[in-house]
Amino acid sequence: MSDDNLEAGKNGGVAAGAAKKAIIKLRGVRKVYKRDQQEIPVLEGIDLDIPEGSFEALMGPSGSGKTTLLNLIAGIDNVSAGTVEVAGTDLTRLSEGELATWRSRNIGFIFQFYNLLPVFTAFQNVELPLLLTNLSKAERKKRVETALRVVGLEDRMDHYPRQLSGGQEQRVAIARAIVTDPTILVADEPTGDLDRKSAEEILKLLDLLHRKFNKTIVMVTHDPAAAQSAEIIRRLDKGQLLADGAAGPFR
Amino acid sequence: MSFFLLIFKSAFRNRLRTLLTSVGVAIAIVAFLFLRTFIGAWYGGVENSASDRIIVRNKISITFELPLNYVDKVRQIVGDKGQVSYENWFGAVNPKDERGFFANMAADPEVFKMYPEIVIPPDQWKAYAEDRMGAIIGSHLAEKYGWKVGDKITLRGTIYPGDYDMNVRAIYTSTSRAVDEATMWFHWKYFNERQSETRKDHVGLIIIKVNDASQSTAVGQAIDKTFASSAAETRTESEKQFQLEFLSMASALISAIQVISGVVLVILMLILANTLAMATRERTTEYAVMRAIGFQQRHIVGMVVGEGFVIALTGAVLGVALATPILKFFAQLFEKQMGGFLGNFDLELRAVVLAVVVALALGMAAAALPARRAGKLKIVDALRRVE
Ligand SMILES: Nc1ncnc2c1ncn2[C@@H]1O[C@H](COP(=O)(O)OP(=O)(O)OP(=O)(O)O)[C@@H](O)[C@H]1O
Ligand SMILES: [Mg+2]
Repeated sequence: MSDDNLEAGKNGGVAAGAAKKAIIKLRGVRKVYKRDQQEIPVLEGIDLDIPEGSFEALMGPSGSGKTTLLNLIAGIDNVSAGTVEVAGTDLTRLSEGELATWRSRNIGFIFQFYNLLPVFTAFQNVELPLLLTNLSKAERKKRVETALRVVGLEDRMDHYPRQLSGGQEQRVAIARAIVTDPTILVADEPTGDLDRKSAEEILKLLDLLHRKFNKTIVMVTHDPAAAQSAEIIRRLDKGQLLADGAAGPFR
Repeated sequence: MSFFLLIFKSAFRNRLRTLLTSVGVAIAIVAFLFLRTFIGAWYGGVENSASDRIIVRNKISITFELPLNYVDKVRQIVGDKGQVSYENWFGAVNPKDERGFFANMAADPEVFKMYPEIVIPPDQWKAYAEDRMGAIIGSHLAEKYGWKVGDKITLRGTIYPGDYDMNVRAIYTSTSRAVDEATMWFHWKYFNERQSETRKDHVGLIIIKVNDASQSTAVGQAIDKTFASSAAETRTESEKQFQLEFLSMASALISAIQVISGVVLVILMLILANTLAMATRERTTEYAVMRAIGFQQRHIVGMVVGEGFVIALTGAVLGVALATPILKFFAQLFEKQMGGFLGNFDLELRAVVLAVVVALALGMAAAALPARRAGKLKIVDALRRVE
């Protein structure tokens, strides 16, 4: 154990969560984009362990590769080299179709711009991921209502996205992310488009999901205040993970 | 919420665009149905033609005649296997309506024995038979020109120049689609009298009604063989073949209409493809979100194809609904202007089914490319593209 070793280097994550099993495990991950013959490295030599049930923030300058890293963890992008093991599955071995199925069971997505479907009500938006399951209509309804209750919007079920505030839209999006009860939530700047008050509500909600529902949350953010909600803050710079992020203040 | 609702809501998301597209599809369907019905009506008589009637004509072409003495020779060949008669396509017009078309023939009276479907009241038939300048006209033709039994009328010859005075003696009706009700017949003798010495004693068609339809081919072959190396060789064929040949004089027109009806369908497909391409491009981010959530490529493809189907169906239903009154209007117009020549200008169920099925198939085909593009999109790239 080296809890107080702040110079744990690239394996800092392992140290921080050594007590618990790592649910996200990246080894030697490299990501390059090819643009007319030229290779642009975006991520280089990433080793990362995120323990089950932790709430981590990923910070770093614009263009440092935060979104790219999050996408690799969430299984919507492929590595150029290395392995990504999430929730016990080696994602680099899965086909497109298998990845889609895997995502539907393991990952909840929260986006900066909410990305709700505008023609559907809050209820229908939250129900969307359940269309991929075999649940009956009644069971789906129960789940959607539960998810909307968790985010505090059970009274807005029949509202369309344009009838909701940004903060409310993001809460609907969070309900959509948790309705299938995935183990991992990925959030790319979930408060980036919100005012301070709404942002705080969203962060409180994520904290609740983390503590009460034991979700593993990986959140990309620019906002140091938002990052304080997380247990661990990791920093990316020019495609490399910096030394172990100082843990945010535990509450 | 279901996949159906997902498709339906997508299709009617941009209501104005979907409506305009559906109207475009509907107009294409109306045009398609109009052209198919036109072609159907054109060949309508052919399908109903009798199989026991065969027709002898000059081998060179329908417009060449045969010497009158061929009639007797043909009678000898046919013997007791059937009856023989003859007529000439007169091709005259009503001088008061020179552009109006109707079929008129100079016929041997025996011709009417060959067409049991022509119904003439006995007293009128008697009056016709007794009047050298008598004429029999169809009920539609009578209606068109307001001709009544007893009227004196004049026809202006085009193939056989000159004005021919006649008396309407009978008005017939028809019991079969093989014979329209807009034709006129008058006495061949009267016609022959008026011809110059060189043109006299020539018949256009020799008509044979065989007692046993299965004998038609054999009789026809025997006739053609007999005249094989004479001055005027013959060609004998069934009424159906003959009518097809006659109509084929307008085959370029009909082919053009066929092509246009195909072009209309291509336009229909392009309208749909354009709308779907726009709609799917706008929704790139949404498709990426759905794919991230776990929807498969095939779900996205299915949604886009389904959307094409829904829009095409809307257009098709609208089109069929519009086509019914529009075609009825044209049926009445053609009836008035063209007599029975475009008789049976009715919207056929077969054409409606064809139009709807083709529209739906094209709707889905039009969706193919947009669907492929939407299905194949790279999730991360599409998510980066922020509105
Ligand atoms: N499809 C692509 N092709 C080429 N380069 C790309 C592509 N996607 C991302 N990049 C590059 O990868 C780098 C990392 O991008 P990424 O979006 O991960 O950064 P980020 O840390 O999330 O930045 P931001 O804070 O601005 O969101 C950037 O330099 C970007 O230009
Ligand atoms: Mg980013």
